[in-house]
Amino acid sequence: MNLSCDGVRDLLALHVEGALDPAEAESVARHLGSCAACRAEERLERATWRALDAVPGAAPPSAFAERVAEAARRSSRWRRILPLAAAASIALLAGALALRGTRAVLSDEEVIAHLDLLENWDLVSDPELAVALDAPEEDLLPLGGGSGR
Amino acid sequence: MVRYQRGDESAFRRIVELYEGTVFNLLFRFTGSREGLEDLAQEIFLRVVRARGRYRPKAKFSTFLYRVAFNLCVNEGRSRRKLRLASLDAPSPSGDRSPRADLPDPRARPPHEAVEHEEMARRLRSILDTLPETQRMALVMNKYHDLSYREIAEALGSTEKAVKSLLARARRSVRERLAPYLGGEIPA
Ligand SMILES: [Zn+2]
Repeated sequence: MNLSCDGVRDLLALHVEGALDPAEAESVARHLGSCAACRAEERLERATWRALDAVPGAAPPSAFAERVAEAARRSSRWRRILPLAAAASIALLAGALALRGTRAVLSDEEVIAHLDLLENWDLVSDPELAVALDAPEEDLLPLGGGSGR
Repeated sequence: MVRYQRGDESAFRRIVELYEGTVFNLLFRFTGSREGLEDLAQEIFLRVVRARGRYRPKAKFSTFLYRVAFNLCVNEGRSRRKLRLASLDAPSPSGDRSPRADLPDPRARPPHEAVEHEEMARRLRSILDTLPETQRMALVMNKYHDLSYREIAEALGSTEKAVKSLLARARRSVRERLAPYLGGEIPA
């Protein structure tokens, strides 16, 4: 495959990440061997990736988690769907988590087990169904405004 | 009743505490704006609760969270931004608890470097803002959250191949727009 400079430049980011398939990687390497302009562009690609470190992130405001938990509690849907049967086990789980305190970050598995417990009244086990997050809008919007107080 | 409320709340709050940093970083680097950030972050966590039935226990929880974030920010972004965000119960966040900018301490650098760093951050921000939203989200997930192509594909509901091409285009755009400012810094 003979690549143009333009074609190489489309592939440069993947090239520096080592993410090209072998045939493409070889074509890009061959082109770079004979094209100083694209070699300069390759250096620019690496410099750009480093420069992106300058974009700042943001930290959550204090007590954010408390406010979200409060909003969840106030949601009428939350109150309506949580069966009392699950309540005791959730309280137990919460206690277990509290015992762990903050010394260890929970593994994904623990968080998952955690969610399953919250979910044990309508867990969707079918992976096909489970993939879709595009539920009807009324299912996703908070219902706090609608039903009762 | 009181006890169950306390129970489910603390379980949920624990999840929020584990992932709030991730979510704020993601949202801020994606939107570039502090305005509405807390409402957006809250909506993501509330959706995680509501959509948990669609969570596949085999998948990483963080991937599920990224997917919810992507759907909210990009798929529904345009229409939702026009509506007031849906914290029907919660009071609007007041100014004093708005997210803290995670900016580097200017005293940590010599003055001219600090100024250059801030200029670079501003320049990059405006470049990121020109990217199509899906490209921008993929780039943020890849650069700042270390997500693999496969994880990004899952979050975006796309394929690994499509994500690679998305990222390649995003990075070419950023590189070409930044080139005039990087000339002096590239070793030959
Ligand atoms: Zn060339």
